Amino acid sequence: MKLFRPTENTRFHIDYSWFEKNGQDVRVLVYKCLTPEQQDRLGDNTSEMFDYVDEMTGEVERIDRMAHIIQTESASDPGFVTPRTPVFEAAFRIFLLNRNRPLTAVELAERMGRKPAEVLAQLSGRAVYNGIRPVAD
Amino acid sequence: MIHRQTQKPEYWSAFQLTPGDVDYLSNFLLETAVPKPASELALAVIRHRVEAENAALRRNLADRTIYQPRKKYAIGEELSFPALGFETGRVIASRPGHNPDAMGFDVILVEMAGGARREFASNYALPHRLNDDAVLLSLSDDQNALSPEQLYELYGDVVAGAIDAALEQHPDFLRITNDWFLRALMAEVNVGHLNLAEAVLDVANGGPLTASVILGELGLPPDIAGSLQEISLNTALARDERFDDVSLSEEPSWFLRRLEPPEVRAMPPALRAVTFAGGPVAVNDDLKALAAALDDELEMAGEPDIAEGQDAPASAQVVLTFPHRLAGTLGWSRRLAAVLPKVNKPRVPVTFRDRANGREFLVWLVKDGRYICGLGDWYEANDLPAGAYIEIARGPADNVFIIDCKRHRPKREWVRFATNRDGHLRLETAQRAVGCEFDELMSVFCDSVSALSNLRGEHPRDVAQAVREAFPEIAKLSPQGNVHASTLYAVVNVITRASPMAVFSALSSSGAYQSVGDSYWHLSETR
Repeated sequence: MKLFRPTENTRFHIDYSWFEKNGQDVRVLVYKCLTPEQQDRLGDNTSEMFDYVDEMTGEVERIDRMAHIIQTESASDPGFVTPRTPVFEAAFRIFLLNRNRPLTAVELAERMGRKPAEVLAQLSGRAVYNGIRPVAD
Repeated sequence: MIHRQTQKPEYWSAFQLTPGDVDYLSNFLLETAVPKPASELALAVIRHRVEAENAALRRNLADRTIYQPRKKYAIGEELSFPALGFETGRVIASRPGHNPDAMGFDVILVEMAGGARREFASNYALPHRLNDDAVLLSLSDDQNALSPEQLYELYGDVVAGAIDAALEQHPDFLRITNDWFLRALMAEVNVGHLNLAEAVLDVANGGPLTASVILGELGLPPDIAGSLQEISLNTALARDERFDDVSLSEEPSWFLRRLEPPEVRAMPPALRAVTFAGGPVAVNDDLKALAAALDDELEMAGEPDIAEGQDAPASAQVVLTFPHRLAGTLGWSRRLAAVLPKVNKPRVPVTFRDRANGREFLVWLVKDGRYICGLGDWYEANDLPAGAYIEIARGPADNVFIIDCKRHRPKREWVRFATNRDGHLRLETAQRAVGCEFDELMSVFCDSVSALSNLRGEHPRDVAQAVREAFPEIAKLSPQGNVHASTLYAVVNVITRASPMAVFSALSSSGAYQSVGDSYWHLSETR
C-alpha cells in the first residue's frame, strides 16, 4: 500500500470494509451511539427497512431502523457530538449523520468544535479506529 | 452543476474561428465602426461563445421536465435532476415509500443516462429544498463558472492568435497596423487623393499633420463618416512610402519623407560603425564592465530600454563622443532611452529646449541606428568638445525635453587636443578656453571637427589599425605612458566609429598592450 501523510485537504470517511477485515460488526458500534432510551425502543426490531429521502438531492436510500433513528433523532440532539466527544468517536458519528459523505479534517473539526490540527493529528496516525480512513482517490 | 464546455481549458486550446464567429465579428466591427486589435476581438468572441452556450442551456432546460420531489411522475417520463448537475434519466418503476415520518410518498426507480439505476422520492409532501423554484434557478446558474473576462485572462492570447491567423486569410477583413477592420467600411483613397495629401504636407513644410487636417483638402465622399474617412486615409498613407507616421501617440501624424532632414532619412557616415575583424575575443571583466558603463548605443541593439518594474528616471547624463559631435547627433543609448519616450515608429520628431536660454529646436529620434539628430547647430553655438557632458531631462510635455551642457564661465584649461597632420591623428596637451563640464578621460578637443573628419577617410577604418594609431598618441601624453581604456575608445572614435567592445577586443587581442590595472593599459615590454 502506498504510504502518504494526510493533509488538511485529505478527505476521510468510514471504510466499512475495515470492519469486515478486522472481524468487527459495524452495527455494534452504531448501536452504541444510541441513547439507552433509543436502545430500549429499538429492542430486537432491527431488520425493518425505511426509505430515507436525501435532503439535498431527493434521492432515496434504504436504511435500517437503527440508522433511521440516528438520521431522524440524533441529528437534532446537541449531545450527539460535542467538543468533549473523542475525535474518532465524533468522526464516526458525524459520518453516520451525513451518510458517509467524505469530509476533510477542517470540515470535521468545524462540526466537532475542535482545532483542525488536533483532528488531523489524530486521524493521520498509524492506527485506524472506527474504520475512519482517508478516501482512496 | 451544469458542465459548460466553455469552462474547459481544452475547449479554448483547440479554439478555431467558425463562420458564426466571423459573422459576429463583422457585426461587432460594423457597430463600433472603429478598428480593433485581435485582443479586443478575442474578448468579444469569448463573450459571444459564453452567451451562446448559456442560451443553448436555457433552451435545453426549458425542454426538459425538471425533477422535484413534490411532483408525481409516470413510467417512461424523462427527467432532469437539478442537484445532480442536471443529469437526465427515465422513470422505469414506482413503488410506495416506507417511512413513518413521511407517509404517503412514492419512490420512483430511474435509469440514469449512464445506465445506473437510482431511486428518488416523488409525491413527497414534506418540505424539500428542490420543491423551491428559486433553488432550482440558482442550481442552473453555475456559481463557480468563470466569467468571460476571467476566461479571457486565461485563454485570451490563444484566441487572439487564432483570430489573427483566420482574419489574415479572410477577404472581408483588413489589418491596419495591429488592428482589424472591415474592408467594406473603408473609403476609397486613390492616387489623386494621395498626391493631394503630399501637396498639403508640402505646403506645411513637410508636416506633421493629422489625417483630419489633411482630409479638409481631399474631398472624400461625404456620405462616409468622418472617423472612417480618417481610418481610410491613415491606412492609405501608411502604405505609401512618401509619408512617414511620426506620431508619439496612437493617432497617426504624417510627415513628408522627402522633406525630412537628410541625416534622418539615412544614417550619417560618421555614425557607420566598424566591427572588430579578429572574431570573438576574451575580454576581461574589467573591460566588460567599462563597456557597459560607457553606454554606447551600438551595444544595446534589441535590448529593452527599461527593465520591467523599474521606474523610468527623470533625467540622464551622457558623454558626447566625437562621431556624434561631427554628425550633429547624439547616441540614443540605454541611459537616454530611459528618459526619452518609447517609440515604435522609425522616425519621430521631438522638441529639445535649452535649459540655459529656453530656446527650442526640433530633433529627430531615429530608431534604425539609435541616434538623435538635429543637434549640430546647438553643439556649434555652445562650442562643445567631444567629451562634454550632456543632460537630457523630461520636459513639460510628452514630446518636449530639456537639454543642458553644464555651461560655466569659460576658463583656460590644459586639455587633450587633436590635430590632423598629413592624414594622421596627432594628440598634444594644449591650453584652451573651456565653457562646459567634460569627462577628462574621454575628452578630445580640436579647433575644427571638420578638419579631423578627414582622418576617417572615405571608407570606415579598421578598428585594430585605429587602436594602433591612437594608443601611442595617448600614451605619450602621460609620464608613465599609461592609457585608460575609455580614453582609447574615445580617441579611436575620432578615427573610426567603433563600439567599446570592438575597441577593447582589438586592445586585448593585439598582444602589444598589457593591462596595468584600473582599466589602464601600457605598451607591452615584450613587444
